[in-house]
Amino acid sequence: MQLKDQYVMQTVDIAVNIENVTKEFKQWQRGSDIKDIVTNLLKPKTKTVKALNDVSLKINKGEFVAYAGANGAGKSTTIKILSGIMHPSYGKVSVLGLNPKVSRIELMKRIGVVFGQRTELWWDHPISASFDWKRVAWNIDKDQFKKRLDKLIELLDLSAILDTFARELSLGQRMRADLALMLLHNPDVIFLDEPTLGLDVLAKRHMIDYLKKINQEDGVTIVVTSHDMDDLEEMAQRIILLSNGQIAFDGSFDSLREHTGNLCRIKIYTNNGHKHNLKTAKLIKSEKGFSEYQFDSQKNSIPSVLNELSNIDSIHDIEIYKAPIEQVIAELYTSWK
Amino acid sequence: MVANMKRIFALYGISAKLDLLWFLRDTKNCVLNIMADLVSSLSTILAMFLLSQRFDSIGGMSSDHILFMLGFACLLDGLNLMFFTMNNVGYISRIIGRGQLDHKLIQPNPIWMQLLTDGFIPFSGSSTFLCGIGLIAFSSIKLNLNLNILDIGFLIFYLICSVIIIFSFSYIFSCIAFYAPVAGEEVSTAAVGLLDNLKGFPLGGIPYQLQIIFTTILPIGMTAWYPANLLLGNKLNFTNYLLIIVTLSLLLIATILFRKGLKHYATKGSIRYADRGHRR
Amino acid sequence: MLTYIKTISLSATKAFDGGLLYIFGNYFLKLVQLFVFLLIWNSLHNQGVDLGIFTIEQLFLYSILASILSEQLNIVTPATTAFWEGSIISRYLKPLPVLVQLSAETVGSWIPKTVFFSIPVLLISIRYFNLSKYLASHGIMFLLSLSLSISLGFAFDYIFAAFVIRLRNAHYTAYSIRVALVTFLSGAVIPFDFMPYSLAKVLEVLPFGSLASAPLLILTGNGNVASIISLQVFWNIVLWPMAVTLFSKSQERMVSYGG
Repeated sequence: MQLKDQYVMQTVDIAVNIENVTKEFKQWQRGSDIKDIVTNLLKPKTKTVKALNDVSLKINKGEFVAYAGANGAGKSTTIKILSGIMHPSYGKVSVLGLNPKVSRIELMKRIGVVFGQRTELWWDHPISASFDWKRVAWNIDKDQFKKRLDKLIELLDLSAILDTFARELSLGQRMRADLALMLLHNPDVIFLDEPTLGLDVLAKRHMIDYLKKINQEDGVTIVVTSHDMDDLEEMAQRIILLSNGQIAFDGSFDSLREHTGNLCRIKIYTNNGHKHNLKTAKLIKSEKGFSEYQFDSQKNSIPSVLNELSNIDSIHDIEIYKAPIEQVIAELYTSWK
Repeated sequence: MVANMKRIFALYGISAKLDLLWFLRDTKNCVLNIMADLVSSLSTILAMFLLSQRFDSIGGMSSDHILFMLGFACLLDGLNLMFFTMNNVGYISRIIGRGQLDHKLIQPNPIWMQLLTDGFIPFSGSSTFLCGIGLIAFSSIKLNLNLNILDIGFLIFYLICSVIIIFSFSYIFSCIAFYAPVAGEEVSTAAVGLLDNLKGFPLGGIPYQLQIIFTTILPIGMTAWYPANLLLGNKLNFTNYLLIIVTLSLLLIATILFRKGLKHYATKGSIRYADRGHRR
Repeated sequence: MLTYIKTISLSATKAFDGGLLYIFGNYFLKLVQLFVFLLIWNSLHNQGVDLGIFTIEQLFLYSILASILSEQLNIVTPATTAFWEGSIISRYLKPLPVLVQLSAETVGSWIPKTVFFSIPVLLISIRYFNLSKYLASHGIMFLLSLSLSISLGFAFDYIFAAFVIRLRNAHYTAYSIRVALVTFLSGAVIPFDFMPYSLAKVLEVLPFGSLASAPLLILTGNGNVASIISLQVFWNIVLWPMAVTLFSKSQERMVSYGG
């Protein structure tokens, strides 16, 4: 794809290194008629899908990277390859200098993985039992474990649910508990696959705040995938956009906006509630009392838009802001189709 | 080696702790589970027991010999239950077919170690084992068998071999799930079910060629009939080392196939994920 | 009607996902199980023991038909699992009766085994075990009894599912007890004639006996057809209203439990 803004490496310590990785899958293609049963059995049709197509990227230690893309872009596949669950069809992968294929056990002691739709908690036990299990399974020193656990309980507000069975937790509580479980062994790198899925505003807030804290204070490298662009923009400094298995963009959110035209929005509040069409901006919404417009600030500068608006007498208030990143991405996805 | 043993005991320890906690916290559910396990195990041997009472002798074994064999079968069931039933460890095709292998791959322990220890439920899973001890003791008294330390040692050794045979047999078939997760999800149920449902059958009366098949390729006879006859001192038309040979062979085949399947899984991944049965 | 046929076909094709080789594994094991059973009966026959009301040929057929028809003689619908998983809710969102949907899905799930196991074994039985002779003389009554048995099986499963919803976490436990007990108590594994007299008489009149023992005895020509059929009709009349009532009374708990 066309948009590539190469992120400049400031430090030399690489946490994640993916070199020319391709991952192919064969998908069964089946007809749904009864007569297709015989064909499906004796001569099944397959289609080869490239989930990742010659992907190369480097992530430094201490970075917080958003890894985004439309459904089916290859995000989860990348996370699985990095955590050693899957191996690439071609190319090389290293995490903290280790090859996930060869050094899986050693790597698991140093990284943490959370899949948003899956839990590692023991369903029929209180979460404290799951934490105890983790201590033994990961062979964590007792004193270090206690210190770490106390800190996590405080930061993730788990004290009220420590003795609650995992099956009785709400989704937000469960995600916080899963996050704590993952962090107990103090990983250097964390992979989070859709961790905010289904969380309410408060739960999301907790999670984002905590992730930012451990990234800034402890230097934990974090790679997070999500569809929630606003959350990603708040958490991460760098965004890697995947499209059809290839990296379509790699850079900061600001440069992403620049690449996609620096979309801005302006909302005007009028006394008479009338709709006004502008030459310098496109009307996107108009309801009683206000109208919202969108414009590309590279083509039509803010002063030029304001100049046109100054002809409208009934305006009593104005808001100007950058277009939500979600929309920027959506327009990108549309352009790639 | 020592480090591995320490890890294994530590993992057994935490599994036992979790089992005890569950037993104490949710006792009603736990008791129901114990009853279910007992009913399930006894129902597979009850049929043969009733037949042996009806016909006095089956396949060259008297009804008391058959009771001893059924006691061995019950003990075997109990051991399997205590070590390999929880978390579907002995029914690995369910884990593979449901895409749950990822949970094992993100732990810093070898897969073999996890499979050896994840299913350990010494408290809630002990009912059938204790029942088996009772049956063996009762039938030994009826047969006037004076079991000494050496006999008990052989009993334990044969039990371990039989457990490995069932485990390996299940894993050999479970490897199908690597290549066909949907169709193969429950294949281990069928494989273990075959050995489970037929373990109490005395094979003495069937043609010799079939006895060979049912003690080697399809080791039904190796689960209870053959080892029980060895313990009872009954002469069979096989070498006394057949149990060990079959145990090691099946274990080797299972290891090779499972490793191959794991490589395939790492290459292809799993398109399915169902959390049914995961840590429940 | 087409809706149900579509449901049946979707349920049937689920197992074909993996191709022929992978289905073969499952049914091969069932075949071995059946074969061993036949060997045991043969071994007993060679010992010269008294097989009671059965000839050796009838005993073979009893076990063969019990194996071929195992899914029909001990019906397990998706109801129990659906309550546990919470997926029962999706059935309530369709403009079709829930019980009929579950029944259609169950019938669909029978098709793979019928194609890959039951029909081949049936053909072998006709060739080598004289099955056609028994079908000729008792086939119609056998089919009637089998229909009643299937109907009873569905009723029984729905009663069980309605009961299990109240157990919450113990559903799987109850399910495994049920499978173990019903298989034994229905006479599918060991004919009642081989059990102690008093136990056999009790089991014959219980509803379990009408599930498997009844049609199998009729086919092998060893049962009083009139009394067997009457008993099956009786249990159907008693259990179906119970099934429908219990199921609708338990609805609220079912949907809530699904989350």
